Amino acid sequence: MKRKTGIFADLSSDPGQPALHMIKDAGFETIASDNYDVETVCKLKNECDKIGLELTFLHAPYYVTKPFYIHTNEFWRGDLTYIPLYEATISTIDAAAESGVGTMMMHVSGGWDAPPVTDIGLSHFDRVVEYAMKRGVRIGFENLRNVGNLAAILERYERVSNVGFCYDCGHEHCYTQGVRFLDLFGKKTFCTHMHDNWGLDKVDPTKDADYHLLPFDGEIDYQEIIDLMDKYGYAGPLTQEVGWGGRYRESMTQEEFYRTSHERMERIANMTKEP
Amino acid sequence: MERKLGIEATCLPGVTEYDALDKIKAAGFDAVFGVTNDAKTVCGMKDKCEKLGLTLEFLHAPFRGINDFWLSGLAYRGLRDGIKASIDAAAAAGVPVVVMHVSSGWFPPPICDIGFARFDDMVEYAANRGVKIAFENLRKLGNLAVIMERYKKIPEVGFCYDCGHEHCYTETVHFLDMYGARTLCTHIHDNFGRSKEDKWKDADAHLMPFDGDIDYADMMARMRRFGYNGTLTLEITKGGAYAEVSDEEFLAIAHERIAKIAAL
Repeated sequence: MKRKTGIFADLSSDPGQPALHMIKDAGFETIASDNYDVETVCKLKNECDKIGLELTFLHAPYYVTKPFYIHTNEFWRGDLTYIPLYEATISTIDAAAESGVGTMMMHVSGGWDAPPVTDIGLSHFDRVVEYAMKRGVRIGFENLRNVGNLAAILERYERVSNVGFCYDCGHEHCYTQGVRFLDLFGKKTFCTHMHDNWGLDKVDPTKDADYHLLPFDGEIDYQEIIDLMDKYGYAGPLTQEVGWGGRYRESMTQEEFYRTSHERMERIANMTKEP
Repeated sequence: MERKLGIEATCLPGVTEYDALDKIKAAGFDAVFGVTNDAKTVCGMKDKCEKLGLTLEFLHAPFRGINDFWLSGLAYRGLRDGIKASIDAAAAAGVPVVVMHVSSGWFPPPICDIGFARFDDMVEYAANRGVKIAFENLRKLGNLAVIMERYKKIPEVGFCYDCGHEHCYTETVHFLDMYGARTLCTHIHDNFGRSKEDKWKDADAHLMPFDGDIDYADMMARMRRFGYNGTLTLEITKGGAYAEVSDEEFLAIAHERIAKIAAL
C-alpha cells in the first residue's frame, strides 16, 4: 500500500504562515507542524481541512528560550528548571486534542551525553503521558542519539496504547548507524521524519552531522526503510522534515522546493512492495 | 579468522565443573566458562585449564532474584553478595569477565534510581578489581539498553551476546548491531523462537545448535560486520535428545556443531 506523503509546514515558511496552498499544489497530502499554541493549531487545522490537506501530528518543542534556554534534558534533573518546557509540552497536547489532530511527538533527551535516566525524569514523563491519555492524544517518542533512553521510555509505556514511536531516518543514519529502529519499534510507529545526511562525520564523530537534507541528497538507503515499514505494517504518512533554507533557498524558489520535495518523497513512497 | 570454541563447564550433569574439563578438552574445545563463585574452586579450575590448554573465559554470576535489584528493601542483598563473590573469584583466579543479568521475566520492576545505584556498586566493585562485567540480553531491550548506555564510557563494561535469548525473546532485535563492538563473550544455543500458541511460554529451550531454527549464517555475518572476533561459547547441558548418549559423544556432537557455526 502506497503511503501518503507529507511535509513539515512550518519549516519552510514564515512562522504562523505556512504556505499550505503551495504544499497542496505540489502534491502533498499531509502536513505536520511544530506549532503548539492551541489557537494557532486550531486555525491551521481549519485551513488544512478547507483545502484538503491532513494535519497528521504536532512536534512538541524540545527546547524553549523563555525565560531562558531550557532543553528536554532538564526533564531528567531534580529541580524545577524543566517547568516552562513541560508547560509547552502540555500545550502541545492541548493543541492536538482541541484541534482534533490527535498525535504529537516529542524527544526523550538530546546530545551525546544526555543526563542519566532518573526517577524524577521518569515521573515527569509519566505526567506527560498520563495527561495525553486523559486528553485522548497519542505520543510518539523520537529516536535521537541515545538508544537506551528511548528504549527505556518505550518499554516503560509498552502497555499504554497511546504511546508509540516517531521514526526519524536521518537521526538513525547519522547518530546510531547500525541500529535499525524499525526492527525495534516498527509495530509501534505512529509517525515519521524523513530527511537525508551522510552518516556520522568520518573526521570528527562528535560533530553534529544531522543536516536535514532533501531525500537522495545524502546516502540513506530508502528501499531498506520502506521494506522494514512493509514488514512491520507501518501504514502512516512519510513526512519530510526539511526546511526551505540554506542551499535550497539559494537555489530554488519556495514553489520549486515543495515540488522537488514532493517528487523525492513520492519516489520513496513508490518503493513499497505492498499491493 | 579462527575463533576459539567454548562450552559451559557445567555441561555434564553429575560431573563437577573441575572434573568435566578433561573431557571438554579431549573433545577439542579451546575455552570454558564456569558458574561457581567460590574463589578456591575457581582458582583450581583456572590452574587445571592452564595445564590442559583451555581458557577459562568468564564466570556467570548468579542471577536468581535479579529483579530485587530494582526494588527497595534489602531482599537483593543475597544476590548482591553472590555476584560480588563471582567478581572476587574472577579477580583471584585472573578470569577477565563476569556475566550478569539486568532483569528477568516479561514484566520486571521498572528501572529506578535505587536499582541504578546497585548496578553502579557492582560495576565499581568489578572495575576496582580489574574484572569486566558483561551484561546479557534477555527479554527487555530497554532495561539492557539503558544499562549499556549508562556505562558506555566505562571500559570495564561490555555485552554478553546470547543468540538463543535474542531468537525466542526479542526476535526482531539485532543486539550485535548495537553492541557488537562491545561484546566480550557469547552464549550460543538454539530454540524455535517465541511460541506461536502461547507467547508467554518460556521458549528458551537451550538446544544444541541446529536442533532449533536460528539463522547462524546471519549471526556470524553480524559478528564480522560489527567487530566481534571472540570465542563462540555453547550454553547447553547434556539432556533432552542427548540424555542417553555418553558424555564423550555429547561433547563430540557439541564441538562439531559449534565448529560448523564458526565456519559459516
